Amino acid sequence: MNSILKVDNLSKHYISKKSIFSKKQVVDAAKNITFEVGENQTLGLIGESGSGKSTIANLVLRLIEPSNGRIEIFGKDITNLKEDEMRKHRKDIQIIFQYTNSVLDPQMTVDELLKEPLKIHNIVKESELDEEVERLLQMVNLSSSERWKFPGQLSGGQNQRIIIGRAIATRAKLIVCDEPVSALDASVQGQVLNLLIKLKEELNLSYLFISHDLKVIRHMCDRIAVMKNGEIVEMGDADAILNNPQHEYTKKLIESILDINTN
Amino acid sequence: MKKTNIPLILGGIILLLILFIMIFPDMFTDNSPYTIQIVRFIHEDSKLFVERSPFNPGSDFVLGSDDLGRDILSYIIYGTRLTITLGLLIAIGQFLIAIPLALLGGFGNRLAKSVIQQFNIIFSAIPALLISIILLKLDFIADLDKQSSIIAFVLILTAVSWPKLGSLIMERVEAIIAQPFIKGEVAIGKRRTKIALENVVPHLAPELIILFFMEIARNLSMIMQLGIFAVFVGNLGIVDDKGSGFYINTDISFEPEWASMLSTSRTLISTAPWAVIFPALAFFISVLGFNLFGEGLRNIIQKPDSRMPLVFRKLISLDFSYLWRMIGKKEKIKYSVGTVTLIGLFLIFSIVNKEEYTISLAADSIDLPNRVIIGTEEADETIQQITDKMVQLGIEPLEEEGYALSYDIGPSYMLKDQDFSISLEDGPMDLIPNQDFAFVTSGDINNTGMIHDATEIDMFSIDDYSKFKDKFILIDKDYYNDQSIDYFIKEINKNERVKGVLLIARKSERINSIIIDESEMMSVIMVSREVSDLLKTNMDSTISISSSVMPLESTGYNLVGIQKGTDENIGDEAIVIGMNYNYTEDGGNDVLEFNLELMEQLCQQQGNKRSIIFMFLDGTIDEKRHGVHYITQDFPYSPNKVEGYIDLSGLVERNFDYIQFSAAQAPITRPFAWSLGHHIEQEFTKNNLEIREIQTRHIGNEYYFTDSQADNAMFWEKGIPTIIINTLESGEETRSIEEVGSILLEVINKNNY
Ligand SMILES: Nc1ncnc2c1ncn2[C@@H]1O[C@H](COP(=O)(O)OP(=O)(O)OP(=O)(O)O)[C@@H](O)[C@H]1O
Ligand SMILES: [Mg+2]
Repeated sequence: MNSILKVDNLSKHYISKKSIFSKKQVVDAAKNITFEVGENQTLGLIGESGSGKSTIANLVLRLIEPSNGRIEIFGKDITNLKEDEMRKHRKDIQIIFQYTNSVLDPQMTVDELLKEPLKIHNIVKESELDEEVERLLQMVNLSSSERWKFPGQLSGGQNQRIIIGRAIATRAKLIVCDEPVSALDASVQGQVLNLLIKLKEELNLSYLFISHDLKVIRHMCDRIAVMKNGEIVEMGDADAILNNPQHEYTKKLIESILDINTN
Repeated sequence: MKKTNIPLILGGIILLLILFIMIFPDMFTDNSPYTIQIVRFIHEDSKLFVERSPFNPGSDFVLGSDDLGRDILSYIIYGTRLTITLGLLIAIGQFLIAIPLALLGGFGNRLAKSVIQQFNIIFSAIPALLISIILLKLDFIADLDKQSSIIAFVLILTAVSWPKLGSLIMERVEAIIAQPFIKGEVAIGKRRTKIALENVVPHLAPELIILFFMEIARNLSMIMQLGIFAVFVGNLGIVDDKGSGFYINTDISFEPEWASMLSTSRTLISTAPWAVIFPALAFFISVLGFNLFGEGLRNIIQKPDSRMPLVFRKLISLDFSYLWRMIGKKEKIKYSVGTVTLIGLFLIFSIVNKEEYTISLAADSIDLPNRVIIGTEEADETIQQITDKMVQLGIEPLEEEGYALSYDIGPSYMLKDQDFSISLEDGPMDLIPNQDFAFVTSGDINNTGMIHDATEIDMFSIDDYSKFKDKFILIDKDYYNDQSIDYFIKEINKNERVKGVLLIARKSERINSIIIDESEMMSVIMVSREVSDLLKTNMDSTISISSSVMPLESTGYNLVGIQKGTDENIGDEAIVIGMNYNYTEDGGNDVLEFNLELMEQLCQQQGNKRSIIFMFLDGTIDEKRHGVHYITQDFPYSPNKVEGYIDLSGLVERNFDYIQFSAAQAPITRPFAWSLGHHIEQEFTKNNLEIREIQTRHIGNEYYFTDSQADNAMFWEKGIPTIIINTLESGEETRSIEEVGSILLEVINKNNY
């Protein structure tokens, strides 16, 4: 199996100081994280709020700087790349954010938003830009009438589709999904998740899929890593973890979901 | 439902009014802000009251006058331009510094960030107002002239006030960068500079525009506060007329500007409150205007669904076609109507503005001779025509002998013929008269001889002139003054065997002569530098000169008449206008015709409270026989009743390129003439007439006046403040004296109410 993303012993700590008199406090947002995502594979990252999931997502994309460790994409070490060099690699790895309505510049039309990645990375010729935008809209199940609208004029689900459209526009092979549906209505959640599954098949994508919702994780993932307080406490095949959790924390997590379901 | 944006409308009206006042100040007041009137007379119950300034608001001065009797209303109106411009320039300076630093700092540049923070710390510890007062009160800055003091003022106020703005903008930049969509742009692989330009700046721009108006308001109130502490722009260098012409500086500003009004009048708050209240009100209204407008803009461009940032992004990327498509049809009509109305208003204003004062010459209305020289028949004929005109206009003579005041010019001759040739190896060479050479004194003379070069010797040291025997002596005028040269010529003249004196002309000196003194034996000839170089390289060649002359009548005539002032109190005071009527070439009659036309129009103007004395001076083409020397010797009017003399005898051609202007002989201590001169200069600048300074000689602080004796006569001999206007040409001749005439009509009329 080809490794698309490899994270080795990655840590991030924040030093916070509440006031002049209090002592420095070190917050370990991520501690010695090690995992791997293979081709056309989905690794689910689950954990309660504040456990460090978004921190890992941002670290993997070098949107924040790691304190320690190593990140490899397609076998290339990107941990210490300068911003200029890093920019070239950004087309290979994309991210879908947790919040849908503030991730797009409210003053850009859908058309501009979709053309932007195409232009930056010279994906298609100038003359084919319009055609490509139409194709992307189709792929994320949006009608071309939305093309001239602004993010504020679209629903959360539609915005999330545009964010997905931007992510696949660069022909990225790996997409980090940071709670892609948690801000959406239940009815829309399914549509977006199915779109992600469809795209995974069509484009041979790999996902690092972050969620605190076990149902969603079960629906999406091949493998699962469970996080608590910045550490991965358990990792393995999805079925194995869900049917036979080893760690106390995982057990509790699964129980709590079952509770909700029976209620 | 749409709510009317009251702040925007109110602010817009105020700003529009300010704009119009700045462009067309003369539409809003008839008074000149420079006019100083320290006493005025009031008749009541057939009694005469004399009142000293400051004057109450009333019919003479709508908003009252200040301590010097200057009209508050017109001072405020004319001061709008400078005051608002200062506020604007400072705001521009602040933004030029603040925006780049704030952007850099917002994007995490440590240096930019700490510069902003450190400056803020400094200026929060010491108030900016205090620093500016200390800096601007430095002697060095207080002594600057108008232009430099404006620059210093703007620079210092910009320096003390930008940090606050810088940190404000930086905060905004940081807030924008913290928004998730910026992270989204980074993740997509966009360059930082592009993010700054395409995402950050557009979102920042509406705020910046609003801030710009707010900052102007803040600057204006800062300028006002400085004014209260007697800090303002525009100190003037002034020539003292009592002493020997020293430059002095005054604490009072004579440049219309609101802060200086507060400063000048702040001690009058209890006796003449209007002198303080109205300029302060002007400040308040404009501060209010800018603040309201900024607030009103905020209501439109900071609404959540506003597309302003998009507009700015498209502007930055120069994508105008997108903008054009974006604007709806209705709005297009609305905007076009707005623009057209505004342009229309401007056009109407500028047309109305131009109408009032114009002087234009008809093609050929009067039949004037095409050459008029002192002592000739043509001169007599012209004198007759001018006096006829004066009679016709009701202008009265000043002396019993009539308009024409005669003076003796001594034996004078007109050159009929002049020749000058040099025998070079390849034959004789004839020089061109009035270009290569010109006779200064001569007679019917024919002479040949060699040259003796005296340019290398000190003429003062010579006591034996015998080595010049039978020769022409070459002397460089550059090394001696006129008196010395006269002295040499006299000395040389005693030695009868000298053939002549060749004077090498000074650099800017015109080589031209029409009227000359008589000499039986020896000629004095002015030669150009080129000729002198030619002579020096051919020292062994002989030159031959010849001239023939015609004697002139030895009498010159100055024509003087007065149009009596209409006011019973100041009617005796007079403005004198000096003009020429001698000329030697075609085209000179155009100028004479212009002079007559100017006289006629001035006489016909309404409200000539002061008298106007018209002087047509004879002999103006000849420095020595210039009528002004004679009229000052026996001045036909009481000199201390003369408020000012406008010397137009230097208007010599109908079309010209530059104005040579000087009001240095109309010092502030003679307020009427000073105001007149200042006003004329302003109008020249407004009409894009290029002003060239008159050559003066300064030695240290002392102030010697112009090279021309005629220019200095009135001021230095009779103490009459003088404004000199000459025309100069450089070949293109794009401007016309009609423009000068229109300006004079306007200024004299406005100052003679
Ligand atoms: N810039 C920061 N400075 C200091 N602490 C931070 C910072 N960003 C995150 N943290 C801390 O790091 C920890 C992990 O945060 P993170 O956002 O990764 O959690 P999460 O698992 O994504 O939570 P959620 O499910 O709510 O999104 C939290 O305790 C948070 O307070
Ligand atoms: Mg998170």
